[in-house]
Parts: sequence; structure tokens; C-alpha cells
Amino acid sequence: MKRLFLAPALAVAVLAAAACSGGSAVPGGASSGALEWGQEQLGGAAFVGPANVDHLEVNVVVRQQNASGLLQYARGANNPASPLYRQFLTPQQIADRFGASAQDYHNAAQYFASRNLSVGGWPQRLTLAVAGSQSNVERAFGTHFGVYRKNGEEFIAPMSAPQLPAAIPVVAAANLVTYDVQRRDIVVPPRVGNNAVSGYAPQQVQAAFDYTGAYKTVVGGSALNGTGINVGIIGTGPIDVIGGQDQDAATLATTFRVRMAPIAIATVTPSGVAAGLKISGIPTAPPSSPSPNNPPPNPNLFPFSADFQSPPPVTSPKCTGPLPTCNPEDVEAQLDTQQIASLAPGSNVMFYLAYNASDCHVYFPNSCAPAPPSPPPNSNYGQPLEGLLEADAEIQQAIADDKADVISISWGGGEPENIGGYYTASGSGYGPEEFAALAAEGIAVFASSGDTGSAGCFGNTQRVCVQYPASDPSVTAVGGVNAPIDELGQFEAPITAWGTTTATNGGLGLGDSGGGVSTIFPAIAAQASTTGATMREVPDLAMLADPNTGVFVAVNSRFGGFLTGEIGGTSVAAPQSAAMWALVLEACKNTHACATAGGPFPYRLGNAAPLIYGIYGKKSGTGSPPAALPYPNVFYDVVYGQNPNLPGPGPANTPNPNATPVPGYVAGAGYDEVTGVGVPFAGHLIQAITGQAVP
Amino acid sequence: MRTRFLLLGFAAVSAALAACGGGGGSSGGGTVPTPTSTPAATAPPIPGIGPFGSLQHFNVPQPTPPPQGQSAGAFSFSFPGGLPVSGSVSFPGQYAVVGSGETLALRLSSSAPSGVPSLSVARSAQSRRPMYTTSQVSTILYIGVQFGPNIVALETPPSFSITVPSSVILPGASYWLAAYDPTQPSLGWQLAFEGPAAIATGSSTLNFSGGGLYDFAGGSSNNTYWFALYAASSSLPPPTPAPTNQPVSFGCTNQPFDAGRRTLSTGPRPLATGDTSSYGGANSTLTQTIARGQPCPEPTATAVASVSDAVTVAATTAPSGAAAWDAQSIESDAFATNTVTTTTDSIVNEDATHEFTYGNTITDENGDTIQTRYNSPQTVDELPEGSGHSWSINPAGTVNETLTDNTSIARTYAADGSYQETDQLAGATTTINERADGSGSYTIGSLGTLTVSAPSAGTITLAIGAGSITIPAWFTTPVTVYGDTFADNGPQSSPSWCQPAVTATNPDQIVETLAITDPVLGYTENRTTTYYDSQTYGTVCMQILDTLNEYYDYLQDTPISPGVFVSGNASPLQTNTISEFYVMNSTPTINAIARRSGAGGVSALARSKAGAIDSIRAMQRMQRMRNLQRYIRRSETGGRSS
Repeated sequence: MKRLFLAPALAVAVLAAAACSGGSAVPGGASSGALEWGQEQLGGAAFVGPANVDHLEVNVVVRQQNASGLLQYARGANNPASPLYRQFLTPQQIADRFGASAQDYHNAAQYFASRNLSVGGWPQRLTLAVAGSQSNVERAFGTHFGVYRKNGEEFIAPMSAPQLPAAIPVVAAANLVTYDVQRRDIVVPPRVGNNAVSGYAPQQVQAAFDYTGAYKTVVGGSALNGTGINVGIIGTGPIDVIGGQDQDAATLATTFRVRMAPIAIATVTPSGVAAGLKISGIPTAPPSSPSPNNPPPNPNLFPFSADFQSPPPVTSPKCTGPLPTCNPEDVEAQLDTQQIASLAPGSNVMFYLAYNASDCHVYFPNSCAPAPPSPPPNSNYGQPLEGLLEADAEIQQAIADDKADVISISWGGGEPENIGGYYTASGSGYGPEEFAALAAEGIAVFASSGDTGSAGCFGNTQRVCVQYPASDPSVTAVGGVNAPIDELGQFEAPITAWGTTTATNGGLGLGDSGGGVSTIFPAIAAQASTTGATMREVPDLAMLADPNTGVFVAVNSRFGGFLTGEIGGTSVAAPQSAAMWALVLEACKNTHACATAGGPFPYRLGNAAPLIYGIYGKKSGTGSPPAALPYPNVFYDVVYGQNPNLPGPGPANTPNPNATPVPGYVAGAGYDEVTGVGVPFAGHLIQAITGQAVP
Repeated sequence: MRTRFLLLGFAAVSAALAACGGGGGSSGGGTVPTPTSTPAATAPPIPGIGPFGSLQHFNVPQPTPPPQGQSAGAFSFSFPGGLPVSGSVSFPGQYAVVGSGETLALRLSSSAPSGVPSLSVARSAQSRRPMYTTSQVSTILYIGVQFGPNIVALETPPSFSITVPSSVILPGASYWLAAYDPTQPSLGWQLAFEGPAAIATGSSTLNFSGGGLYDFAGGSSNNTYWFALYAASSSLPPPTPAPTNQPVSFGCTNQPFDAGRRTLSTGPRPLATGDTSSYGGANSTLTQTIARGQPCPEPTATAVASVSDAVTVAATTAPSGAAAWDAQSIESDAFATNTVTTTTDSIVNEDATHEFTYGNTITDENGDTIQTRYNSPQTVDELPEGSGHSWSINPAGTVNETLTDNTSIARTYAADGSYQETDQLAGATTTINERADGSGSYTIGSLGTLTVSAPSAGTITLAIGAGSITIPAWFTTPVTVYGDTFADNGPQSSPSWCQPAVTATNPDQIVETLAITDPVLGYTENRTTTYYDSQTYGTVCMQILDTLNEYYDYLQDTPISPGVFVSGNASPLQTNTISEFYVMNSTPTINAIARRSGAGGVSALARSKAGAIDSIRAMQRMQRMRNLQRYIRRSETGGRSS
């Protein structure tokens, strides 16, 4: 309590210390002796007052045996020129070679458990999930939490540098600072309402980008549609699964008479610490009210704790109040699931639903109250946290499950704004580590490159920066295009880059394809060798994103609304790419010469980006054998458009006429930082990568 | 006298057919242009190769596997040795045998066999070969095929490969097979039953591919069917029908026509079940360009596809229930990045002077269909082809578009091209009413309506709700909303890109011109289709140039107000062109009577290929409707969601 009174002054001191450290700490890497806790994100924040929240979830990074080795291995396993190429690992192998030692993991878990916190872990032994009351978290970390304000957003953060006993092998805590720089990359035009008459039907998208070419291809006795491939989504919105059926997907299926893949919520059940390490003292309790969305945990895996709560059921959009009382759909989750389920209808869609019961407390720490009548612009009032801040446990679960063959992520945040949160200024940290872990398992991750063009930062829209995790070297970044297609999916006008100045949408200024040059991560080898890039450049490829050429999404089906159109953003592009990759993987799975990867999943191809640049490097060719299909036969090279960001919003969501656009990149022949190498066509992409001839 | 009698008989039959009044709805009148005079042919000076004669028996293979009556593989027999001619006769794979031990006797003779008339023009059945007259032929060889006591049924005549002494092969001569059916002796010899023979350069082997001009009754027990190899003095038989200056109309379309089993008629019948043709090769391409000039100019985009197209004729029924043909075109357009396949089933039929269509059904690879049905059959070719023909299509009828995504469009055209349309697009019901004077409206349920005035003093007014804008008319006034005309330009030199796999010197050129102006949806489409028709092989080459100009901003590059951006001048916002070339890339299968004899070029088959472009344009039109709905919706809601 005494510290509370000193908080403002202490916060200043903390900020000063952070400024001096310059982000040199090594979150997730070998312990430097100092706990990395995200102090950089407090820069520019104003102290509001002491925090009073009832529940906190923290992800802590346990000291790794060889954190840099994991990054290095992932690079090798995903580099076609490396002897390690496609030698993929299991979660246990990751733990044994690179993760925390069993003893360290145990010791760290035991420490937090001894502070009456719930603790969960995963077999790869990278992080621990820790949850409990504010007071217990404060006691464990030797600090108190305050409320801060920055860029119009309130959040909580330690008021002093957290301290752990020196013997505790924890090097970083991911979200002690809840400043949320991550955003979903979805654009819902203001004119869109229920029963909108425009937007692309699934069949149009299928035909336009030649998913139909895959559907026509019979491999191993069946047509390619994603059968046998698991597609994961790591997202933050609720989906409405009842009795094993996604209600909104069912509506889309009925409306457009299109086959949809089954969609299921992938339950996050951190295990291993209790079950495997036999830690005592972890509080256990059954879920308060089991439901289809809140299944009872497997008691053999994890001593379920009320501190790790499953998402509440979906509620009507008219529900007033914060989580968990009101939990309406957010369109993003529906978009992601429906795009994948309709484009890879034979696949299994696994939705890793990130949820934190204390979101409203964390985001609006002093107000878990109904939304005000007129929320301030851009307030995101009552919305849950997004991105890595929210989804750490889900990413760890995906690594542990090792089930999803390909993952779609439709969120991200400004790369420099994540320094301290997930990586250092030199690019090391547990953010890159967990994506490296996925890549080491051979899992392809497609992440949206952002909807604000060259200015990917949340806090400063006048700043040129790219978005993370799209810029992660283990991730394939997906930008966006404007693709006017007709009912058959053929192009009625050229594909152009999604940009406010090139597809103006009547001046509504609804965004641009995120893209640019990373200031933190070096270019992956394949990109460097084919484009000359030295630092990682994004995006790698592009798909639909401009809401002018957006898609239909079914939302709130159980609550009156059932269809909305013209949904855009690179949130569309990422799941479309993931679905396409599912078809590639199925072809590989059924092609003897392709299904050669080491590990339990011989058909996995790892990160898609190196293979994409491999195709890009073949500027010409005969296409015979099929694997030799050159770049012009696989990608539509977008040559028109640019992505300067027009800061907004102004009145009625129009661009601020007084704002100065941030300079953007210009699409042109070959690779560019707006649309990458271009727009892929599924049939020929399959042919080029797997050698499987597509009609 | 005999010949005269036959010609009179022919005329009598023609007159009788005309009197039955069917006419098939063809408005072309059936006037036969004054033909060129029949060339005075002389018999080629073929040296004799006889006398000789032979008889040999062969066992007919049993269909495998049993039971009897099943289809089996083809079989062939070689001529016996020691004769001035050698060769073989091959029977098709589809046959039936009743009983075992079936035999076939093959007879070869240099002279007419006993009981069979000698081959001569005077003895031929003119009424069964209306396209062909010639005064003299030189007979070389008679071939008899006798079936054994059990019945062997063959649906298709045999093919022959006959090697004759080289002295028999003369420049300028063509070689044919005539047929004689002993069960129908009154028909006499059927000239030009097969042929002309294919002869490789420097060879004296004559190849007849089978298929036959007429039905081959096939294998009545113990009867000998005779074929006569003869030479004619020109490479192609001279054209018929017989000269007349009187309008002649053939056929009664109200009567069922058995397309599956060809009947013998008195006019050119260029279509037949089983006809196939294919198009492809280096010069068969489709090129799309999209040039956007206003308000945000973009680089012109170009996409090129290689085109392959296969056309097959099968029996079907017309909407009236009458027998007709399904001319099915399966077109694959292989772009650099993907391949688009379109199937078009054109329902066509013919009478002696017209090819006509009842409509078509276009199916894309999504399973979307566009079905066009004319209220009355529309002429797509006038026969025989020749310079001076011209006609037009009346669009009255229905167009129903059904997409797999639950979208449906039902449009009804009047004869003047005006139309009314009701659509279901993603749950919204919309209606369009376009009138022949250019005025019209587009309504989305109760949400809003775009109205377009008829042009007045060179301007039109567009209104959405309370707002309106008057702009210069971007189309020619007075407007013609729909026009589709044909012109037969007669024999023309082939363009350089037209290098088919068959010999087609100076094919007949038919040009179809389609012009659509749609003031409601804001576009014009102009399509020129040029057919190059060989009288033997049908359409050997075809070119489609389709230009679509858009005058409304479907891409929404412009502000909401005044609702619909228009160019405000005569320049379109966007121009979308499709240029497509088809070149016949293999010898077609021709069962049709007329074309086998080289007197029945037909563009009806080729026309089905336009379905691919029709599909593209229809789908684009549908998307324009959706985009236009956005404008209307936004204008009615002030740019906000409802």
C-alpha cells in the first residue's frame, strides 16, 4: 500500500530507467538477470491512478536452454537450401533441445503456485500461464499495478520494476503491461448492414483465385479440398458453436449453398506442469457452468482452475455490459472461420479462441461498466484485448497440440511498439521464439500485414512502420488487393493494390495494404536472394482485402442478423491464404515425392514464404515438369497502386482532410512492399510446389 | 429422260414439302440464290485394271465378352492377293452378332456383278443425293460384302483402304465410293457414299474413313451390299440443288425430326448426330484487355489464354418437344495462372435452307448456368451459304441465370430488345425495366430506385430518390437497345491466322454483329463474330471481337454524390475487350450428309462457342448490378448502413 502513494513518482523513475535501457534486455533469451516486463511500452504514458482489478493473467517466459538455437533451427528447417530443411520437431523435442529445462520449468511453476496463483504449462516448455488475483500477482512479482493512459487507451502496468527472487528462472513476463498495440485487421465499412446486397460469395472467390483448380484435381482418389488438413485460427472473437456446429457458418452455407468445413473451438488446456511435474498447491476447481462453449476440462491433463476460464457463450449484439456478461460476435472471428471453411471445405478448422475473463478490467481497469452512449472515436470500448497480448496461451497451445498444419492470424501491431513486449530491438525474444517453434514443427503461419498501409503502428499513424507478427521471419505476411471480379470470379478490372489513393471508395479512405521494411528482423534467405532485401520486407503475397471488393460474412445468426457484405481488410487475405495452403498441403500429403518431411507430419512444408520466393525466383520456364511452373504462371503480379496511409478517421469515418499522408510504397513489376510477389492462384501454386499436375 | 424424270420428281417433293407450310419459323424466306451452272464434267480417263474377280470368306469375331449382342472391337479383312488392287475393309466396333460361326464374304470385281446395275450417273438416285450431280464417272472396282445366314447388324458403314495401280491416280480426279443396297434396289447406286478419298502425296492408296453418306442398314442375312470405287473429274462435286429461280422452302419444323436416326431429305442437312470438330493450336487464343480511363486511370491489363474447344453434336429435343440437336461446345481457356472451362449446349436444328437455334444453356465450372430460350427459332445460317444473305435475330425470349450461390436472374426480352428482369441477389430482390426508348429503372426492393429517362435533346437524367443528375447521353440517339444481324459475304480468302488442319480454300465468310446498349446498367457491348465456313468441314475458323464500354463507375472510384458517377462525355470509364480466335485443329468427324459432299458449310456449330464470352459478359453484368446496388443503397442511406 505504501508504494501506491509513491506510484506517480515511481512511474517516472521506471520510465526513465526504461529509456536508459533502450530495450536491451533479452526477453525470452538467456537470462540477463533482469526481468523483461515491457517497460518500453510505458513510454509516453500518463499515470491515471492505482489499479483495482480482480483478476490477471500473465505469461511468463522461463529461461531457455538455447533460445537462439530455436530461432536458428527454425531458419534451417524452413530454408530449402539447408540440410535441416523440413526436418521438423515435436513439442517434446523443442523442449528437450531448446526450451526450459524440466527443472527450471518446475521451479518457476512451483514459485508461482506457492504464491497462490494458478499455473499451467505446455510440453514445449517455453512459457507458463499464470493467473490469479491482482494482489497475488503483485506479491509474486514484487510490484503493484497502476492505471496508465496513452494514445487514448487506458491500461494497467506495474508501477515499479517487477522483481523476482534471483533463483527463479524467469526472464520475461509478457503482459504485465496491458497496453494493447495489436489490432484486428478487419475493415467493416460503415454502410454495411444486415442483408447487404454486395460482397463476394464464396464461389466467386473460389473461382477467381483458382481454388476450383484444386477442387478439380484428384489426388489419391479424391479431389483436393483440404481433406485431412487442420487449419488453425488464432483469434480473439467469439464464435457461436452449438452442438458441434458453427451457427454462422451454417448460415453462410445455406445462403450460398456452399460446403463448409467443420469448425471447432480448440480448447486451451495448459497442462504438463501439474500433470507432468506433479506440482502441489495449484488451486483446482471445476468450471462453473459447463456449456458447449465451456466444456469441462480433461481432468487427466490439467487441474482446471477457475483462473483459466473458458470463453462465455455468445450473446446478442444488443446485450449491454462488459465481458463476460455480454460477449457478442465481432465479425472478425466469423470472417476468419468462414473464409477458411468455405475455401478449404474438406479441412478441419480449429479456432484457438483467445479469451481473458478480465479483459474489461484490464482494458478499462476502472470501468467494467456498460459502454457509454457515445464511445469516443477509436475507443474500442468494451472490446477484448487483441493480438499477442491476448493470444499467448493460444499460441502455446497450438505449439503443444501440434495439430494445426497451417495457422491464420488476422491481427498485429506496430513493430516498434512491440519492442519490450515480445522482442528486443535486436529481434530476440519470446515472440519470435514461439513463431519459430511453430515453424520448427513445420506449421505454416499466415499473418495479415495490416490495414494502414505503410504506417503500421497503432500509436503513431504518422510513422512508417510494419506490423508484427507479419514481419516475423517465421511467418508469411499477407497483404491486400482490390480485385474486381464478376460472378464467375473472372476479373472485370485489373487487380490493384489496396490503397486509399488508388481505390478510393468514394473517398471513404478505408485503408491500405500493410507493407514496408522491418527495422528489426533481417530478410529471410529466400527473400534476400530473390529480391535483394536485407531486412525483412512485407508482405510476401497478397489476397483480397479492399472492402470495395470485400466478402460476405454471416454474423449474429442466432440473433436476427445473418449476413453482412463488403467485409475487407487483410483479415480477409490471411485466412484466404491459409485455406489455399491447406489445399497445397493436402496435395503434398498425397504426393509421394512431396510427403518427405521428417517428423510425424511428412506432408508439412513449414513456412510458406521461402517456397513463395522460390517460385518468384523462377521468372520463366516451360512448366514441365509441373514443379517448374514459373512465377508468371502462379502469381498475378500487381503493378498498380500504393499504400500511403491517410490518417483518420474524420467525420463519418472519412479521412482527415487536414492530415498529411504518410509516404507509401508503390506497387510495380515484381516484388513490392504493397502486394509482395502478387496474388497466388491455387491450382498452379499446388502444381509449382508439389509437382502435382492440376487441370 | 430418266434424269429429267428424277429432277422433276425432286422438284415435286420440294414443292410438296413447301406446301406443308412448316417453314420452321425461318423468316429468311428460303430463297435459293441463282446457282452457278453445273460444270460439264467428263469422265476421267482411268485405264482399266480388269478383268478380275475374287471371293473370300472370313469369320466374323464374336463380341467379347459374351453374351451375344454386346459391342465388340473393330475388325478388318485384307483383300486377297493376286489382284491388281490390294487393301482392306474395316468394320466399326459397334455391331451385333446373333448366333455363332457368323461369316462374311468379300467379293472384288472389275465389273458390275450379276443383278446389280452398272454404276452410272443415269442410274443414280438423285433424290437421295441432292447436292451432287455429275455427268460422267469412271468405275474402277466393285466390292461386295455379304453377310452370313445369321444376322450381323452394323450401325456404321465400313471404311476402306484400297491401293490401286499408280496409273489410276490422275491429276484433278477425285475418288469416291458409291453404295448399292440390295434390299432397296429402287434406290439404285448411291453416289458419293464415301469420299473423296484421302490420298497421300505420291501414293496410290485411297483411304475412305467410313461413316457413309446415308444410313447403312447393315447386315441383312445373305444379302450382298455393294460398293463401287469410281473417279470423278473434279476434286469436289459441283454444287446443287438443281437450278431454279423459284423460292423453295424445305422441311416442316412442326413435325418431329429424328436427329438420332438420320432421315433422307431433299435439302442440305449439314448437321448430324456424332459430328465433332475441335479447335485449338497456336492461333487459337483469347485476349482480354481492360483499360480504365476515368476517373482513376490505370495501366491496361492484358490476359491471354490459349483456347481449345471441342464441339459435339447429339440428339436432343427442342423446347417444343420436337427433335433437335444439341451442339455442345466445351471450351477451355488456359490463362497463365488458371484454366476456365465453359460448356455451351446450343439447341439447333435445320431445314433445307436454314440453320436455326432455339437457344442455349451455358454452364461454367462452378455449375452456374445461363439458359437462353427464344420464343421462336432464330436463324443462325442460311443455306446454301453464299454471298448476299443477310438476316437478323429477334431476341424475344427468356434468359434465366442460376448460380450455385443462390443468385438467380430471370429476364424476359421483347422483340425490340427491351426487357424486364427480376433478380435474387444475396437475399435482395431487384427488378429492372428497360424500355426500347432507353428509359428504365432499377429497383432494390423498397430500398431505392435508379431511374433513367429517355434521351431528350441529347441528354438523359439519372435519379436516385430525391437526387438527380442530367448528363449528355453517352449513347447514340435515338437508341437501339439490341441488334443482332448476320451477313454472308460469300467465299473469301482466309486471314493469315486461319490455318486449319483441313484444306479449306476460300471459305464462306459470315459476319454476325451484335450491339447492345443498356442505359440502366450503363454499358454498351459490341460484338463482331466472323465465321469462315468450309462447305465440307463447316466452320474452320472463327473470330470474336467483343468490346464492352462501361459508363457508370462500378468500381466506386468516385464519391457517393450524385449516386452514380458517369463519365459525362462520350468516353467510357472503362473498356473491356475480348478478342478470341478459333482454328480447327483436326479433321472433324462428319456424319452429316451435306458436308460430307461439300455442300453444307454451317456456322450453327461454331456459334455455340460464343457461349464462353456470353458467360463472361453475363457474369460481369451481374456484378455490375451488384455494384450498382451499392450505389443505390449508399445514396438512399446517406452512405451509412441501414
